[in-house]
Amino acid sequence: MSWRGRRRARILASLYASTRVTRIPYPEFHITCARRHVRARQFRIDAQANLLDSDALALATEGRRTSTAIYARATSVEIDLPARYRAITLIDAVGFAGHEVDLTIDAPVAKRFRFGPVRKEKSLWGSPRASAHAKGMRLPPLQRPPPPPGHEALGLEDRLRWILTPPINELLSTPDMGFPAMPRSFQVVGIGWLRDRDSALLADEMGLGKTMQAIIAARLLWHDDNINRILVICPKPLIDTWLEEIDKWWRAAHPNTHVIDQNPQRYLRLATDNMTIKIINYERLARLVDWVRAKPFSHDLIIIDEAQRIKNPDTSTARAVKALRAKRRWALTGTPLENRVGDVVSIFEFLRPGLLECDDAEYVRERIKPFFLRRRAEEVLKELPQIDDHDIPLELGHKQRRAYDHAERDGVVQLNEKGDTVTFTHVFTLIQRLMQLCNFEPVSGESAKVERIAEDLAEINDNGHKVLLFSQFTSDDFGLKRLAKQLPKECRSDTPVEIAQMHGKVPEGQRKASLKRFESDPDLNTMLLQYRVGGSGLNLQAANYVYLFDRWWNPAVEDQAVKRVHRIGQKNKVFVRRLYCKNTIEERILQKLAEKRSIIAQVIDDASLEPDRLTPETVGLTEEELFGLFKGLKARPKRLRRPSSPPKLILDQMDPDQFEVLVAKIYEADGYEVEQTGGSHDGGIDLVARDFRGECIVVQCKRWKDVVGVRPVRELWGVVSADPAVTQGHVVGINGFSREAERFADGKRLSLFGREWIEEQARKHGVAAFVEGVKR
Amino acid sequence: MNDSETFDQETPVDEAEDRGKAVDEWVLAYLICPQDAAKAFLGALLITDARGRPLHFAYVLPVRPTPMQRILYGATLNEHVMVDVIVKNLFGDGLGVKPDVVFVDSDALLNARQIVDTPIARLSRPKETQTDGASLSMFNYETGGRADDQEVVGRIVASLEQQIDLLDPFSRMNEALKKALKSENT
Repeated sequence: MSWRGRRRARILASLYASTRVTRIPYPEFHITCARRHVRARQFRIDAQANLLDSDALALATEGRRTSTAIYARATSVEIDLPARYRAITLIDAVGFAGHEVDLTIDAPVAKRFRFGPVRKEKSLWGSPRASAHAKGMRLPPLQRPPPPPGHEALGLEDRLRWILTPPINELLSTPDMGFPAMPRSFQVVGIGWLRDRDSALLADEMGLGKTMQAIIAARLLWHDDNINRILVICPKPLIDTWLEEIDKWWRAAHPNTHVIDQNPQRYLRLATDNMTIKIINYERLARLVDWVRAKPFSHDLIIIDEAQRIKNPDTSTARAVKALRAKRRWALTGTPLENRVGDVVSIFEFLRPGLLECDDAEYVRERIKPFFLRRRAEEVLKELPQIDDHDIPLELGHKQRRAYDHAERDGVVQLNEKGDTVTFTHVFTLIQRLMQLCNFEPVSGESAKVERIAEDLAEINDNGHKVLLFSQFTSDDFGLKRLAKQLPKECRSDTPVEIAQMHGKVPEGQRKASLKRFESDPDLNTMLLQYRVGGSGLNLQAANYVYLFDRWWNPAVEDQAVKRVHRIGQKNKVFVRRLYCKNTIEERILQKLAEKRSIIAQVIDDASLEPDRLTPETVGLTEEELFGLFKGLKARPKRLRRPSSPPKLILDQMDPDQFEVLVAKIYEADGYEVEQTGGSHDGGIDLVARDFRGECIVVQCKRWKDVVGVRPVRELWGVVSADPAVTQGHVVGINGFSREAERFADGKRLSLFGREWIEEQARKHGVAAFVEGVKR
Repeated sequence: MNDSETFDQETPVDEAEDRGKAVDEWVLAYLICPQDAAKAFLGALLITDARGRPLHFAYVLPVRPTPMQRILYGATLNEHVMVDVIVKNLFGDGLGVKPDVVFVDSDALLNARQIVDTPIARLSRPKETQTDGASLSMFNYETGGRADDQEVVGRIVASLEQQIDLLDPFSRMNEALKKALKSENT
């Protein structure tokens, strides 16, 4: 060992042997470090500097109580430190060669997260812990639920927010939340999942409470001061459901909830500091597409219900929704979307623009994982009562059979007479007519279906159960109105059949009152519903019998009807009876669809298909299969040879006649039979469009250089309101409409369509493409 | 070190101000400095509202003293790293909100009171056997012998233990810290 080594060893031995104060009698060095709280950060010994200067000790400190550096220049050292500082061991570390050792230890803050100020609200006080404490009980530590699905794929801040926030079940069980019932565990997971996401697609199966989960999640965000302005976009029939659910799950918000009807531009842009929930329906928003795109404005949260409405990116609905701005965007849908990549891509263009760069199925599934949650009823609602679900084939009575056979025979003859001018619209018209005859023989009122239901109702009503009856028809001759008259007469129960109706011809206020009464009044035991009105969004658990009086092409639409009763809150076994008449078009259609479904799973498992729009695509049959439903039908449509690319037109340079033809073609392509009046009709009507369901639309075409004012709209309304055969009036104008015109049309059976609509429809149906010609 | 980074340990907590606060206005801080398996020092600070909902979360990168530093700091190392380094940084610039109390989970962190002008208390759950006596309190707290702090902390604990599980944030922030550090490494 060198002399230096020996010396170091000696010093160290002395140091470690000491208990409190170490003194090292070393002639050349003298360091005194007396302050108790000094903590060395940088200890530098310059041994060569002043070997002979026994007094030269420099002790430098910075700060008031903590020193960051000690510089020692000394010729002799006296260590007068508590042993625990052991600073002298530096000698061992660096020797006497003037080395400098950095003793700085630092721990920079890696990240800071701010989760926003929390709103002070007394109403959330009073957790179960308070009442337990008052009773002298000790509650166990909180049980945290497992992270929600997709949690790991979230960004760090979102994940940390979830981890750091108290378990949501504790918060939700606070009595002052004022919930009518505690949300189920899977709903609690869904609420937390939504709350933690800026973009979310909640695709729970029907009946699992998506609306409620979204409302509560929004409420929690509002409590945390994260959101103030909420916009809900939903189909019109669901607006009342939203209002009721808000009242139920977030009562404080109910007075601040506005349904946007009149003057939508003003209310959409309305911004206040107070919390507001605005609800608008898709159709109304779609009409504002140009305005929304031109003047984007922002909300804190946008919720789109029945999000499949924007699955087609070319529609004005999708474009209007996607033009809206929001910090948070949630979409709700019950439609299975896992295998519908195109739909998902379009919905995510709204939810999280830029997330999906291609539509490869695997890629899309992987990318949307953190933002997509779907639970099936069978997985989470094991306690839901069973369903007894049967098809009920019926034999037509004598008169009904005769009327039916006659109509089918004549119908086929008429179609054959049309030759190659026949279209699928003609075939649908015949099918609808025959379906109606399966419901009622119009003259005598004979109905195998009513007979069967009346028999069942006697027993059902006497047992105190309630019944829903679904049909697609509402008319006095074949639909719900006739059923409402006939059923009480034919039913021989001790309990009178008391009926409420829910269809397009019942005013909305009355519908709402009926729904409430149906829930609470035991005497009101039967409700008649039209598929498109009562088939979605309503909660009718008071009933547990469902009769499908006539059938819909798409079983998903029928299933939605069934889900009105088979959902959370249903305590009784649910009975579903699907009626059809043997040896009729009903049986043939069911067979054909069943055959196809057995070959291709889920041919049409899309409840979003609009029940009142029939095309071969929406019913799941090809044109050939549709024509094949009728024996002896030889006529086939002439294959219209559309040019490979549609003609390119300059909208502003078309003359009025050309414009009229263009609009007529659009309606024809949409399944209407169109009559061009040549200006002969009252009120300046240019076109009359009729479809097989009896819809009759009168159309005014305005190729004006300026916006269309209120006058022609008033004139059109005169025609619509005066003629009971006319169901709607449309004004089509290439340069938009005045505000007064729009205000006048609001709430009436009038629709105003602008350039966007024309271009969109023409493109969709391949009628025309457009090029910019003249400035707009 | 600039003046703004100094903490006057002699300045008492403004109790008058505290007394004026409503129960739901308390702001709580939770401080942890665990060590990982490799003996690196970790540190995190969680600030919550009176309902335990997070307002602020910060953590430091793991501190791994070198062998030389371990030798030189000796027994003072733990306190130096935890208090002078980690706590000081966590309570430094960017805190944004001032807590009314800091809860810690170890006695060593009580020394942080030297540099933080907020009462600090080690919070723990009483043992099961400790159920006798007049106190129904669900928590024990230790302020390192500071009587003035004892009173403030006692008032806060008494008013909040009925509403929330005061210890729950410790487990939450430990988990959050693990996730955060894992993300730093990936």
